[in-house]
Parts: sequence; C-alpha cells; structure tokens
Amino acid sequence: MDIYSALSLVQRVKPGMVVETRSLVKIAGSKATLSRALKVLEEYGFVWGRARGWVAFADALWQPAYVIESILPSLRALRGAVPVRCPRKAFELLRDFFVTLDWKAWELTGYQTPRNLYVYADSVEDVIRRLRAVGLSRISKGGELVYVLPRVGDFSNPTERTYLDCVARGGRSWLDAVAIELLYPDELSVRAVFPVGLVEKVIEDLSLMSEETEIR
Amino acid sequence: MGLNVRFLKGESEYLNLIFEGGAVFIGAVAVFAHLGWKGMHRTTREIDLATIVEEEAVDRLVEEGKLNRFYERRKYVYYTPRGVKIDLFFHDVNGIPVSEIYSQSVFSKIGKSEVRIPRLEHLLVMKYRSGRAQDREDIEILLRRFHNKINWEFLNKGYPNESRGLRALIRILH
Repeated sequence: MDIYSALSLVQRVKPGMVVETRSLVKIAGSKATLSRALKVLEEYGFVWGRARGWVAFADALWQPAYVIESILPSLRALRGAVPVRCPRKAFELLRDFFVTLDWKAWELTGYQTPRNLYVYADSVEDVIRRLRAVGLSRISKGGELVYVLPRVGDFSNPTERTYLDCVARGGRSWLDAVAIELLYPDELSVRAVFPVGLVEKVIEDLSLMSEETEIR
Repeated sequence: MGLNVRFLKGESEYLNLIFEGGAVFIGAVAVFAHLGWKGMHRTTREIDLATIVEEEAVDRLVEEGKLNRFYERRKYVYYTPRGVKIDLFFHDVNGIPVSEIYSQSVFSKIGKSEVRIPRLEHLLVMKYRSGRAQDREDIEILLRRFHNKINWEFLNKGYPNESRGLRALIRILH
C-alpha cells in the first residue's frame, strides 16, 4: 500500500486527538488492510502513538495531498529526531546549524516563546562534538532539550522549510505556521489548510502583540 | 511574546476582584495554575473566564470603566484597563454549563488571592472537546503530570466518551 492510499483511507475519519481503530476497520474493510495502512502511515511519521484499540495521528494527517507532498521530508526528519539534553546557554553555540521550529519561528515572528531547540545536522555526533568542544557534555537530567533532526529534503528557503516543519509537527507549531504565513506570504510556495478559528486567533494575537508594545 | 507571568497573575487577581469571585479562570491560566505555575510550556495573550455574573453586571463593569469593551470580528471583546484581552463565557464552555464548571471548581492561590479554576476533569474535557491542535500539548502535559490524580468515576459518569479517549491517550503517552 502506498502512502496516498493509506492517507485516503484514514482521512475519512473525523480529526480528533485519538481515533478508535474499530471505526477505522469499518472504513478499511478489514483489520488486515487497516494494519497495512497504519504501518505505512507510521513509517512516514503520521502516527505518533498507538495503544490497544486506539491510534493518535499527527495533526498533519488531514492536510490536502499537495501539502502532504511538501511536508513528507519534514515528517521523516521529525520521526528521526534525537533528543539531547544540554544547558540552555549552549543553544547559542548551535546557532550555525540549520535551526527550525520553535526558535526559528520565534526569530521570524516574535510570536510564541520558544523552549526546545530543533536543529538539522548531518549527525547527532556533530552536535555532541560541538558541545564537548566548549566543555559541555550531554547531561541526563535538567537542562533543555535539543532535538537533532536528520537532514532530509530541501533547505534552500529557510522560511519555507521552517513553515513546513511547523505544519508537519502540528500542535502549537500550527500557530507558528499561521504566523509565518501571515508575515511572510511572498516567501511561501505552499500553503497548508488550517481551521478558521486558529487563523483568527493568530491574527488577533499578532495585532495584540503590536498593542502590547505600546502598552508596556 | 506572551504576557509575562507576573503581569498575567496581576491581571487575574484584578479580574477575580471585579467579578467578586463569580468567575472561573479557564484556558491558559487554569493550565498554569494546575501545574503550579512551574515548567510552563507556553505563553498566552488572553485570559478566558467562565462567569456566573449576569451579562448586565458585566455591562456595569464596562460603564464604571473597570473593563473595556469593543466590537471586533462580529462579537464583543473585553479588555482589562491595562489592555489584556478577556474571553468571557456566560453559558457553557465546549458544552459544559458554566454553572457546573463553577459549582465544581477548585481554588488556586494567585498572588494574595484565591481564584477559582475548573476541576482537573472539567479542564481536560474542555480541552479534549475543543479538538484544537494547540490544546493537544496542554492535554499531554496535564495527563503526564496528573494521570494518577484523575477522578475517573466523575469522568465515566458525566463524560464517558471523553473518559475513554483520555484513558487511551494516557496509554499512548506512557
């Protein structure tokens, strides 16, 4: 089964935090077909969790085909992300890697306060070597998380790549994606589809941001 | 950037005062309060309130200058005098009647005030029902932190569908 057949099957269920596999079996026609579809979706990063009788899909699952095509590299990269804990002060040392998601979105929009750092690198070892070079080693507890993503896909347009990564990640990153879309419309060749309520919220928040600057 | 925590707490105390305790803080303030205002994973720009105060009483707060009101995007929106946006809910929040949210609410200390926040189960149901991408992370964090403290009897009785979904999420997260 290819990815688009698998998507067309599960996209027929209503978007939700978790979906009962029982309802998916009805659509798929058999447990075996569903199992094949879920396996494919899992490989591509569209499934973020499974428990007996339930499955949790990435928000991006319900995007249209032309968007899916563009976010496949982001989904694959996110699926291969390796977390490394390091002190927040070390983030600056990693800025010359290709930074994406939270921190890059914040740099572009000034919208949501970033927390974890996501960087693309040829290998996790590159990042760890960089940290060690300045006397910082991986620490198991405390500190913040740096997610090292494998370099997959096109990085020629950092704004668009960050946008697509945000679309692929879903959750609060969708707010960042909408903010990027509103502030950098000319730098994007692909536009994802978002609920109206979410877009309105970002528009309101961005207008409040400019007012906040005046209030303070 | 969102509102800084001290400012957000100050505005929450102010709203608690002018609503004379007749409001429950939902949304981000409720999530932060349940988490003890520690390890916050996000910021906010607005305060959501479910209030049992009559709409006429809110009109009076506007007349007295304690709240500002504007007509924006086909609805009234409220602001504190210091410019923080307030979303007011008079009837229900995602299908849960405000009277029920209020009667089941718990107290949380913000600054020197005791403010009402929804009980954990109501907060989870509100977030679960909203189905919004941005609420998923709130649910994940609340479930990771409080999965042992959830009153499943309460959820099973009043919100059986959400209860099943939340149980599934816990199994997925752990």
